[in-house]
Amino acid sequence: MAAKNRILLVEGNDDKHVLYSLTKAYDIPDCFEIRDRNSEGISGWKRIIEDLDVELDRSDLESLGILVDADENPVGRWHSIRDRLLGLGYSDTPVNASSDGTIVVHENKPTVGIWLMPNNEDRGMLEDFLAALIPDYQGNRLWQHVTESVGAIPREEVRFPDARKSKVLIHTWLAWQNEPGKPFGQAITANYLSARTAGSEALIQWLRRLFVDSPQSVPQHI
Amino acid sequence: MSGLHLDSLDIDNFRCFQHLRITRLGRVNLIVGRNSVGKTCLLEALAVYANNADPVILQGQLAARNEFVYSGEDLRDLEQSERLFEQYVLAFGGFFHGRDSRPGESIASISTVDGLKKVTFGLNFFAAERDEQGQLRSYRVLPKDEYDLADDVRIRLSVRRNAGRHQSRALFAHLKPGQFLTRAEDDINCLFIPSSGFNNSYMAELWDRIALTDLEQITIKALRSIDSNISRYSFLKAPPNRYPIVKHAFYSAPIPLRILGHGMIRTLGISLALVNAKNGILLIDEFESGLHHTVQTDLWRLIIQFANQLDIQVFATTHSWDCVEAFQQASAEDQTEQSLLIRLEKRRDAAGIEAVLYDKRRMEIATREGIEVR
Repeated sequence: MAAKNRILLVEGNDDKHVLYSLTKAYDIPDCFEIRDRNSEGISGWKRIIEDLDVELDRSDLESLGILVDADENPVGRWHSIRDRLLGLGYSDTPVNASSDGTIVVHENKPTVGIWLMPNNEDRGMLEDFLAALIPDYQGNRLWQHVTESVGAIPREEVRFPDARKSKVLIHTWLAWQNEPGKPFGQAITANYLSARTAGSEALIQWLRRLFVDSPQSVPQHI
Repeated sequence: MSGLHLDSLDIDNFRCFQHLRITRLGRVNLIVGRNSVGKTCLLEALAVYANNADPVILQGQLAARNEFVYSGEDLRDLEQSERLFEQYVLAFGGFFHGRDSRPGESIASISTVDGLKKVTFGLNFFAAERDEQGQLRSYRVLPKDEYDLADDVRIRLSVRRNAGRHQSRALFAHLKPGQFLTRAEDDINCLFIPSSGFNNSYMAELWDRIALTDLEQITIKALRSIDSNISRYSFLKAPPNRYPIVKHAFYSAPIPLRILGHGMIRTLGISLALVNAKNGILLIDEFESGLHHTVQTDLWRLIIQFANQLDIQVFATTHSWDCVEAFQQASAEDQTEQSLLIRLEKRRDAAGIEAVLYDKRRMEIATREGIEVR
């Protein structure tokens, strides 16, 4: 089966490499393609939503995953996706996003999966998801030091808006490793971030259900 | 520029289409899709629509598909042979979904979605009514459930256009090879370019109609887009045929167009058909046939420009990615935004065939993101 018939759309390059590393760590069969929709002047999120009708009409497409940040308004973001899907004929799109990641099936259309970073419920983004991959997240003393240090920056020296604080934290964490400043994907491979945590488990299960296990709505050919 | 002949399409019970709906059509339409989804069928349906299901067109389509191949110049033989007639009626069933040529099953229609423009055609069955002496008195319409019982059945072609009356016509029409179809008043001027192209005689006929007019310049422009050393062309008689010759800068004497390659012949055929399809419908099967990808964009530009100027609605099919790219590029430049890419595909729920449409916006997204549209 050609890999290109199952596609995961992500917002940017970082998402793509995190997903590569996770699927490798969990030994997920190479049966889907990850494509990032990052482009100049327009956010990956906007591009994915606007172009969704064309993405879903890709010839021979079996299933399409959409992995986007919840950002500040998970409910609003879910409703934007839901409205778009309803408009495209996915009448079974549920009212609320599933905490396990949503999958919508249609008898005459490709299956669609939606994952809102970090966990389909909370506000946040890729970096919040990654923070949950820090080994022994709750009791980790270096992580505690990272959060305290960032929190102790004098107010007049804080150069980032609050919305980017999780980015600052994860990059600080990666700055203080044996090989400082590894990109996210490589940080997972190097185990600075652990693939094997409850946080990634749910995402992996969603990917399996969407691309590996679920029966596909396959286009008919003679 | 006026409205389109067809702004949308509903096809019912025609060949592989039990029902096909295309909610929107453009001025220039490129049809893609896998083998056996009915790309050529769609062109045939449009030809039937434009020609009001003329028996000559129907016969030609059966012959092109090898569904009914007759030899001899005169179809009168056919009417006189009962065996041949039965074969013909059986072959005629090929026009209907499920290849059914029985009463009640053998009706097809091609229309706009609103149904205001519509051509319906089918077979009408009549049973002979005889008196006690066996003399023919009249014919009556044969009901569906009596078909197997009747032995003296007469079959006619029934055609209805829009809300008009049903017209009863002979199943066969006599047309000698090379003879042109006489157009009825409400027929739409329609040219169909088969994937194998026109033969030389037909191209010569098309040229005769436009020689020394401004339209001829368009065809010269098309040839020059491939080879700018060409300045003029004509047809040379070599009985019983005529073949195209060109004046080429490298040669002092005229040379046969064919020695410049198959792409030249294809380009001449397409451009001659284009200028002859004024105010009508142009159908091109396997557009890319013989054309190198570098010339396809120019040819599409020419088609889009003159489809607008000469008020022609164009439908072409292709398998080739090059052709789709060339079409996308040429239609992206077109300000009228009336080009449409149409993919036919089998529905996932196995309920027939459906059409996926790409207008300018959707074509641009697909190109930008590398989304497969064929």
